[in-house]
Amino acid sequence: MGVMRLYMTVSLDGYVAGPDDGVDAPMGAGGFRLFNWLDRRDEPGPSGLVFVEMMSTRAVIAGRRTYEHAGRWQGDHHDGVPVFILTHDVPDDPPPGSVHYVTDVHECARQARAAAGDGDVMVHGAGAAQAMLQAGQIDELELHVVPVLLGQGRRLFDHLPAEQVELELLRRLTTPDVEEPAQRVTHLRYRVRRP
Amino acid sequence: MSMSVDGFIAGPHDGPGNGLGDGGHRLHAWFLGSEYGEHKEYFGTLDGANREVMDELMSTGAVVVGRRTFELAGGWNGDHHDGVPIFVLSRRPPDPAMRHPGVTYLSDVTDAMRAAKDAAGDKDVLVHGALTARLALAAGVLDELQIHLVPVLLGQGRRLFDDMPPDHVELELLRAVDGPGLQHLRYRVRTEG
Repeated sequence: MGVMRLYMTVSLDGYVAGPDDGVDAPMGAGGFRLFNWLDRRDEPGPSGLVFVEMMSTRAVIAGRRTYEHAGRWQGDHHDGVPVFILTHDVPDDPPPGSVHYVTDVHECARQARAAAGDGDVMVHGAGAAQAMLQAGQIDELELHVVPVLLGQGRRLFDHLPAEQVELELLRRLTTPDVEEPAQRVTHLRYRVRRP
Repeated sequence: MSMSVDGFIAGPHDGPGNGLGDGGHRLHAWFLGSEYGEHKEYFGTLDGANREVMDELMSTGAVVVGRRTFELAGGWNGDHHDGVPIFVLSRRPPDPAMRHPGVTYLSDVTDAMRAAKDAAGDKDVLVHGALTARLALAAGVLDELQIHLVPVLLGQGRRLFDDMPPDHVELELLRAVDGPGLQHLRYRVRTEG
């Protein structure tokens, strides 16, 4: 059985976007700084490996905000795999491409796991991450930690209850020093330890 | 600073008598053991990168600390380690109970850092406390960050990076080492272009 893994790029101070993010500025002010590491996504090395793994997932879960900010991925996040959008307010128009709208977090997780079969499920976006973490559905976290402090913006870990969740580091990949400073990143993979 | 993966350096409700907040001792368990009370013995059992990083910390030549952190720690009875000078950042007059030889109160972070660097000579300066870290970053007087990244989510508490201006601070990872039970990440603050 596959795992449900959160994939998110974060600054060292925990932001996934700069301030004032919206449909017209999906990464907020200055937030595109976080994506410089993706310039190396098609090359050998840690970032290329992590990107290939991400694109090998067989289903995607995202929150409504991420989905809209990303232009609904034009209905296809990658390879036409099923995309499950967690939303309180299902749009009236039919979902594009391989997208499904789901209102219940556990139902969303169940459908995505079933769709992925033996493959992994990619969870994306701060809202989906928080909902899935609270529901105890996340198996692993893959955090792309960018060596920058944004200072302000949208946090990945926010609005969570004061409950300790123990993690276990499974893998740490650090880009080599020869790379451009702006493209360096530390990929930390954690397993969520369940009591 | 010891920080959870979700960015907290203390649990909720931190304050006098509960310095690390509810559940916050988890963040310091890597060097204090799972419970308070046997610090000295536990210190001696540190190994691997945890030993190395703690030895580095304990060989710094001066300490700069915020008043809040200093007082929650009971002022370390005036001696953080080896009697090195301690510079406490505060805009208020000192609490008489927290006056010690070797402890100097200063109101400006740049002054405190300069005084600490002078006092440390060839040695490094240990900067401790979230607010002090932010002030030092904002003033451009912090050279490096040593984050002890503890594999836990606390959910709530006091964050290391909070209430900062929306200015990017570029960093460079100098060293990443895995100790038993956590990761030690050392970053340099990049000041050039």
